[in-house]
Amino acid sequence: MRVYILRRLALTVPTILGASVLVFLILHLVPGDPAMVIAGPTAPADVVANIRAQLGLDQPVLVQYGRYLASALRGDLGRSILTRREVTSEIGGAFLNTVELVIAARIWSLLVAIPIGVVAAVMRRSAFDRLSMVTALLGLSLPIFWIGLMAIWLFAFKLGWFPISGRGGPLWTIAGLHHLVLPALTLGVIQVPALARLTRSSLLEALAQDYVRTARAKGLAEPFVVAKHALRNALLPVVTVVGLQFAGLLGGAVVTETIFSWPGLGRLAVTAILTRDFPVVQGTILISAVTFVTINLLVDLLYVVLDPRIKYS
Amino acid sequence: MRQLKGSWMALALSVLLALLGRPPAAPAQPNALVIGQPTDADSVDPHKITAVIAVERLYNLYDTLVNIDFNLETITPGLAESWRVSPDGKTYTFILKRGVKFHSGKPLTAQDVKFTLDRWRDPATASPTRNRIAEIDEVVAKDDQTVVIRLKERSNYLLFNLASGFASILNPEAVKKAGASYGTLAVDGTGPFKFKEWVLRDRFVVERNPEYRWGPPMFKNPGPAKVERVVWRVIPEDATRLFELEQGGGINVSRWIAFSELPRLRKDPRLRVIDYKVGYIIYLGFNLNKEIVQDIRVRRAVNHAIKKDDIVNEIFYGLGSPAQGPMSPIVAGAWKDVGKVAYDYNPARARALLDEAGWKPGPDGIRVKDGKRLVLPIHAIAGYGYPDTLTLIQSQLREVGIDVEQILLEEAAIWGRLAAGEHSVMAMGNPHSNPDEVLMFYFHSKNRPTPNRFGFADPKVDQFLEEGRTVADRKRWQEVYAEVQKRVVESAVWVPLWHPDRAMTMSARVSDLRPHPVYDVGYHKLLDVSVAP
Repeated sequence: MRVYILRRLALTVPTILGASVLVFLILHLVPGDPAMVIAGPTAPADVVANIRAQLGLDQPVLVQYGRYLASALRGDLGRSILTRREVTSEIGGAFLNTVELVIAARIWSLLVAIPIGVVAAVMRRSAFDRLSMVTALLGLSLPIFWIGLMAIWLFAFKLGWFPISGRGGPLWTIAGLHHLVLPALTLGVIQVPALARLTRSSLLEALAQDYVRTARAKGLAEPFVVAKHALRNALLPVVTVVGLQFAGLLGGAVVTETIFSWPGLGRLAVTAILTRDFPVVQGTILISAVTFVTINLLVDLLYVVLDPRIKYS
Repeated sequence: MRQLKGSWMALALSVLLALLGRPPAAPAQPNALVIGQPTDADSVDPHKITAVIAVERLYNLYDTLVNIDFNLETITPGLAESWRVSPDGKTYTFILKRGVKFHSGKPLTAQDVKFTLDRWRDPATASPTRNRIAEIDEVVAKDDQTVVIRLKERSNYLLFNLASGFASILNPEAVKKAGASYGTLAVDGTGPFKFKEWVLRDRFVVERNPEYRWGPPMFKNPGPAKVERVVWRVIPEDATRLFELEQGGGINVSRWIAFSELPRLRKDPRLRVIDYKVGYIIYLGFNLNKEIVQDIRVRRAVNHAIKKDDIVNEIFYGLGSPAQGPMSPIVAGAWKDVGKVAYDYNPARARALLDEAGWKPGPDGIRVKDGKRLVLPIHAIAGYGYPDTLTLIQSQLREVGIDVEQILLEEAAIWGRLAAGEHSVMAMGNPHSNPDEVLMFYFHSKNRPTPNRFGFADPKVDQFLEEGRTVADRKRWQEVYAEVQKRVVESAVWVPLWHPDRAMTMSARVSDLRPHPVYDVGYHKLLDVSVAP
């Protein structure tokens, strides 16, 4: 197992390096000049050239990447072209804000989706099953920006139960928690349908297996059969999807962050791309890649816990 | 039983409807002005930024030597209590006010002014606005209270540029100590508010400077400010910003409210909408290096074919006025008689010009010449109302047989394309407080390829623009700029589209907030503003 983990960690290096090179090249190939974004529309050509030289943007692309890689290996991800702040501090704060939001959304979506999926599977073809699956389909169809704006309109603007936007403070404060509720609900609500449907179909498949028939034949109570025997196996594909979604969301839930003015990684990445803030874009890609790879590894390790038949060497 | 159930349902419905009625009163802001805006600034180092959203913060954190009044013409004292100009116009001597201190407590001296202006001019600083004071030859701190600025040649715009946010006076010690982080993690100015906190892409907070007593005369209150805090809150989504303003708890003022909402908001007694004019022009510009627009008859035809009233009324809800020339009429130097040479909406005249130029209607109505269709690709930013404007223009030009291809890009990509001269036509806007800020930038031949992205070169215009910078006689100053505007309009290198107005929407609890038109900031020093509980 240790060897497996070390091998997986070693494989992250070429993955992250590859992503970094690809993004760097794409950013420099698409039209757009951060020096002109800084200079504004009325700056003469010599002023723009001056800014470009000062930022090192007049060097060949390979030279620029070489310098970036050399610094990154020393732990220095450079400074934002626009704000001149260190990339690590820009990204660090934004990443933690997104982690808060995504974890909160994930927790509540799992607490809702898995029970719904389980009940729908156990009470297959019942009114609950049909209603929950139709609702799930509806949930999948609704755009998240609409859900977010409706949530703001109803729960914040009309009823005044929650703040409308912003991050009110650290997670351990009342204000912080209060501000987190609506964006987490919004981000979570779009995940519930897919997870509920997947749990249902996966559990139905598990419930049709021979070992479940054996367990019933042995006289075990149905809730025990479902929870102890079938559910663990049924959760394997759910864990995979949850892990992949989680990793993807940690790259930034940009629509939710925009609607709720949540200062997260998604908004930062989009702003950086639109303004061609190359160091910040590189930094967000780096952190997203590391997160994705780490979570995938954790998901694979979780399989071993859920299913003792799985062994890695 | 059925009746009882019905009663409960009716009660539940009534409660729900009551709850969903008027939004509940939000908690009062404790004497703070909270401004809602869609994006954040990158820095508050005056030598590193150009964005309007950053400049409005500069006016509150810092002071400048002089200030420009609300009329965009009168220069008033700032940190300089007085100044004199040598007879040849090349030497300015400023006497600084006494008792002015930076937020750190350091007293202001002439050395600070010298440091600031030298830093602004220094190519190593790479300031995007350093060309504004290119005429400065030398800055001398004669003593602690006296600054002498010597110019290479006389300039009518030195004081205007010294009144701009970019000329905010810095504390050299703070700048040197903070290094590259100055303007993001460390700020030290003499302004009515002190830097308190900046959470990127969330909020920028400043606190009242209790020592401030040296506010410019254009404000009733010389200081300290009446509000305790000013918070700039970043709320990127338009609907969310509107919710916050209407509820009253999250923000209490914004000038970034969708125009479509203003008619409704004007009727809301909890809010107040102030309309104001700014010096701004939105235009279509032709790249004269592109063959398709080199024929002046084609450019004049486009000018005649666009009904500018429709742009203002249909897209921007009447908040603005159709433009006839390249300058806003509220800015000194704008030629009052530009209407004599401007192009009226006249589709028949447009068709006649195109016929004369050899462009004949094809089978689909689009004109053709030598096998080529008359298609104008127009580059514009994908936002700020340009897509809707171009769609309207597209339909108007089709009426006279011109097709339009909209090329909408985000800002970073647009500047690159324009710098490469790829465009045949571009749509853009420009804030300006004097003729130099629009006419010199865009129409002097030395400014090709940027900001003169039109390939425009007229030796007479160059001569007049240079004379306008230095001529002492006011009447002659107006004459030269009138001549420039006449030649620019007659060349049809632009289609001046419209001059936008602005609307600042605020809670009725906010008093004495007077928008300032300079650089389109809206918020100058917030000295007079108060917020009722």
